Amino acid sequence: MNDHERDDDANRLTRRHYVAGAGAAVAVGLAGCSDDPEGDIGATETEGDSGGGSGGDTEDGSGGDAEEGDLEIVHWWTAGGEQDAYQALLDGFREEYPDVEIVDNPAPGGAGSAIDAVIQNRVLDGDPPSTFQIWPGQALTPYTDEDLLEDIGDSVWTDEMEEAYLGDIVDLARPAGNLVAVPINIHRLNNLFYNVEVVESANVDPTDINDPQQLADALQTVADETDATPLAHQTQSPWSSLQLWESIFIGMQGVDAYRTFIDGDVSSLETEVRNALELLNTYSEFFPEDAGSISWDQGNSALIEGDAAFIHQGDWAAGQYRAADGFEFGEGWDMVAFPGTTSVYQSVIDSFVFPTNNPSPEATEKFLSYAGSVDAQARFNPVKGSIPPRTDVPTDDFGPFLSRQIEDFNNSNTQPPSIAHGTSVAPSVHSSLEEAFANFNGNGDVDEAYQAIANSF
Amino acid sequence: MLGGLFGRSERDPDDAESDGEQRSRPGGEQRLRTDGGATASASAGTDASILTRLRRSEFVESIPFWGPPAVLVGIFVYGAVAWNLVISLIGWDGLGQPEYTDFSLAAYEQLLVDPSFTSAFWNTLILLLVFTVLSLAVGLLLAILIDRGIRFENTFRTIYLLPMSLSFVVTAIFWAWMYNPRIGLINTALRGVGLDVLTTAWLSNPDVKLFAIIFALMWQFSGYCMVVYLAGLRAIPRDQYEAARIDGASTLRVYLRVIIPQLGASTMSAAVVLMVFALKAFDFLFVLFGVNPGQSADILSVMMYRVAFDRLQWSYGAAVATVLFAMALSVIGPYLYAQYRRGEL
Amino acid sequence: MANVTLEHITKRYEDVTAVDDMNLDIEDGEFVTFVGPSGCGKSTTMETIAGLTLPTEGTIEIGGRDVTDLPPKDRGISMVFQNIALFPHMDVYDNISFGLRLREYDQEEIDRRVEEAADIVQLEGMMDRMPEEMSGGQRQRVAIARAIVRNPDVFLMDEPLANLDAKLRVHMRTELQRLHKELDTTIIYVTHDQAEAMTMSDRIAVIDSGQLQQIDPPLVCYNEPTNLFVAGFIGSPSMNFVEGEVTADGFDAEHVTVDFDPDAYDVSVGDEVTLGIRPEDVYLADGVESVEDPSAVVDAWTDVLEPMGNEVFVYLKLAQDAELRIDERDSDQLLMSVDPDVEVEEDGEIDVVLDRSRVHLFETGSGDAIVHGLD
Repeated sequence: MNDHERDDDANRLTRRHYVAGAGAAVAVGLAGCSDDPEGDIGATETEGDSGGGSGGDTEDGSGGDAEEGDLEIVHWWTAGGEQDAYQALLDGFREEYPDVEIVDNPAPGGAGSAIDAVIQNRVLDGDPPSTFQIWPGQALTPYTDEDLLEDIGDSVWTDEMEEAYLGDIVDLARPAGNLVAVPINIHRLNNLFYNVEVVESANVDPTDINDPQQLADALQTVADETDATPLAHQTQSPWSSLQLWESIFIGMQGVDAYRTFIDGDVSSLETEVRNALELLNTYSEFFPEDAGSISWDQGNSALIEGDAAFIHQGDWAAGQYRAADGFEFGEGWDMVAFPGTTSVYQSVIDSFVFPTNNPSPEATEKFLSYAGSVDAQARFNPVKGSIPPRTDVPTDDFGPFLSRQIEDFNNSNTQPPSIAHGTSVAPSVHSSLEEAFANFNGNGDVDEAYQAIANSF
Repeated sequence: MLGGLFGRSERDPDDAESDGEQRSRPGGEQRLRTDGGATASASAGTDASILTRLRRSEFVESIPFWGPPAVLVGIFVYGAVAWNLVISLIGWDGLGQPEYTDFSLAAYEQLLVDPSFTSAFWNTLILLLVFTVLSLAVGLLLAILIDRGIRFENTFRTIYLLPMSLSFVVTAIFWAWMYNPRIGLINTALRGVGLDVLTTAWLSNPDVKLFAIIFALMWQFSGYCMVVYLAGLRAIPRDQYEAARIDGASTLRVYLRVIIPQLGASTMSAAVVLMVFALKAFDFLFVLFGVNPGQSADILSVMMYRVAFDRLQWSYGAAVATVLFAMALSVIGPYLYAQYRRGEL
Repeated sequence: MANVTLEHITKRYEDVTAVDDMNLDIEDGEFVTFVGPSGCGKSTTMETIAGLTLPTEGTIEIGGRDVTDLPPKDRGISMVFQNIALFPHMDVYDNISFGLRLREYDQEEIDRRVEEAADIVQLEGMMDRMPEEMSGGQRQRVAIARAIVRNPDVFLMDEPLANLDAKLRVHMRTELQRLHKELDTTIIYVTHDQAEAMTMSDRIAVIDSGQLQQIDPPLVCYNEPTNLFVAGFIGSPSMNFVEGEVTADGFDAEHVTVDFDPDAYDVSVGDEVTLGIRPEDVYLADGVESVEDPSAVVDAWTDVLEPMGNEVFVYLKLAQDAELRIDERDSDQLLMSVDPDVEVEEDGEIDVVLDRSRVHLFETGSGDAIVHGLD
């Protein structure tokens, strides 16, 4: 029995060691959960553990029901109007290509906050979907750097199609020289929406505001003359401030300086960058008191209610006006180009791409060709509230506001890509700039913000 | 894994044969012996003694129970942790495949000079400590109040515990509204009692942002502490309160000197859970601010996600993850060690 | 050192009256035991003395001082609890000195008194032990030391031995008596165990339904119980009761008659009375010469025999077809104790007599005692 006792002791030790180990493992697992965004904005499945360890152990990030040859589309259009627009697009595609089976795979989350992680994982795993929604331009560079997108210059981009797009937009579809993306819609960023009644009661004429500095004066007038918030805005997340800064910068310095900036030459523009930051600080005095606790659409609602005079926002904001009862374009609300940017059409664009290792090359080609067609863009954009990148789409269905936007677009001198919306800078720069503006929203420190901006490139 | 389990149960009969003793099931032995185990024992031959000892060993017998989970945990937890460490050393960016050729500590050197990391690290530490201590204190207070037999005890217990059942997402949205400087309850209440001076934009003012978050998290978790403490309090016989009172202790002293010192185990287990949740505060911040909460509220888990998935700097993100892991370990480690020493593992 | 006086103490909870108009006078240095069945109010009475519960009505005096509204610590009492209630996170020294440290005695004084108390309960050399490292008896001693270290005027002990095993309980009983002799302090002791009460007390206070039934020295309670409850509660095994009525010849029941002259006592013919007789006062009719004044013979049938070594308990049925109930004997049953050398057969017919001088009579309705021992 002595042997047996000894065995027992040994076992107990081993067992205790094992349990101790398992306990630690559980702890690690718990801690590991901390980087798992499961249950957040979207029900996305991302490789949770190591932040970087996303090499090859997830078989399929999502949408395991796609079969070989089916067209799997990953996108983030899940909110009301967006989803309707996307359905209109799919309806048109089905009419044209009834034999293609579509696997719809939404990755919800505003402006692609969840889709990136999903797509990146799947691409790294060599298991991309047939196509996915992505900002064109610099946002594509992580993919083009590794040759993860097919050149569709010959297959999809016919000469006819290329001619129908404006030059700046086509350039965004070829960040590395060859065409890899099909832009499907364009939102304008440099809009200044306003509540007609509030602005009139303050005796401010928006069409008379000629540069960003004058806008500050106008905001002051609104503050003096009315109870309304002069400039609706949100600072909870940084992108709104970043896009406002973009427009201020272009409005003050012009598009050439802006292009120098997005090429990374910040130091030569130090004064200009600082001036735009200073002005943003000035504007911030006119933000709503609760800017840090609201989302952009809550701010926009205040404008509809007559509690705010102006908002700088992409023209997706107009969708909310359209949905509001008795708030008509021209009477209830109106819009001017952001002061100093009248001939500029700052573009926020969505596109579809053709990933390599494609599970359904034929269907993907059909879809991308369709997305570049007049029919697709005529169906999609009026519902989405954006304008078609093709200049030859009939404007009949677009309503007065979008028709005017299309006119402005066709008359614009330049269509610079947006920083806040990923088209003009690489994702890592974009993220660093967002971080810089998140801090700037908090402390308004121009020196620190300038340094952070300069260091971002 | 399952094969091991089934294989073991198939071997059961000849186990019984060579085991001989069958202390636990003397009745079953006969049946098993007539089950045809004789051939097995014949072939066992000279190895019998080693085999017998192996089979008798509790260690071997228990393998089917702890073996499969150990392997799974080994691969998916420790394997992933190790791999994360490797990735942090190889300088992997972008969407290319990782190359395990050059190993360097560059990512960690970058951490040391990155102001984002510095602020995220300190914020994480502050969050961890302040949140844990506050939640424990509030939880203890609530537990004592409830234990002292207030009316509607069950109702209050449920009310306090309810926030715990909410997800971070709900809590975050709820508190975004509470903290709204214009219409939120906090500022409205402050104005209501004439404390206008204290009103602020809780979620934008960098000076209070982190503490506003800590307060919201505390709201969510103090109920949990309360339940843990309440269980601890209920385990203390009433006699001890009476004995202390007769010995001349005031109510405050009864709790400070007699009751609270006995709640060590409750405190320990609640604190570990709280700290782990503090490290998980990612969800809460992500819902409120996305991946860029700003330096005043940035924490390591958010930074890790931002660096890895927003910037595709996998190695740098992995380095942040390693630091976070080390922090988690430094929380859990002492706890496990203490448990181990008390013989509870 | 102090006497304790309870005047009209009543404790009512929402729908229960736990203590009902209790009046007690406990002398200085007396060992008084509160005894009664569970829920009779004895613990509540003690809690009101301790100050752990405030009485609804009435006043409490300790040492001539009205302490009714004082907190426990100002009453000059200390208490030993049923669950011992040592503080598990403190060692023996800290447990014993807890009260002294709270009162901020100086260290030398604390050490001296702790040592003294530990001496009395024989805990020398155990000062560093934690409660979990000690046996039940040792823990109880620590609890007692904690109580005596403060030199209280009154000791309150709430079933302190209830959680100990039987052997240890008997041992601790003796120790408590020794302790009482040594300290000469007033001790109020609560128990549901009447054997404890009998052996240790100067006086026993028998409590039932929140009311004091009798407070007297143990033997008085035993020999002259004031009512049926006390008679039945004190003594083990308990007294036999036979219900009957008073006739001109004395007591008459279906199976038992006892002659007496009704005029000699405070009864009248036709009264419903209950006769009480302890098992040791029932004798075999054969050995009747040892009883000076036996009653008429009672015919009985033996049922169960319980040999206890020094005596044998014999359960008797007074009607052959009576159903035996050990716990609550009916009027057609008697329990008799006989010497072990007396031969009694199970299930046999037997004649017994009662010792008239040991017969108690109670009013059946009120339960009050009428007479203890007939002439």
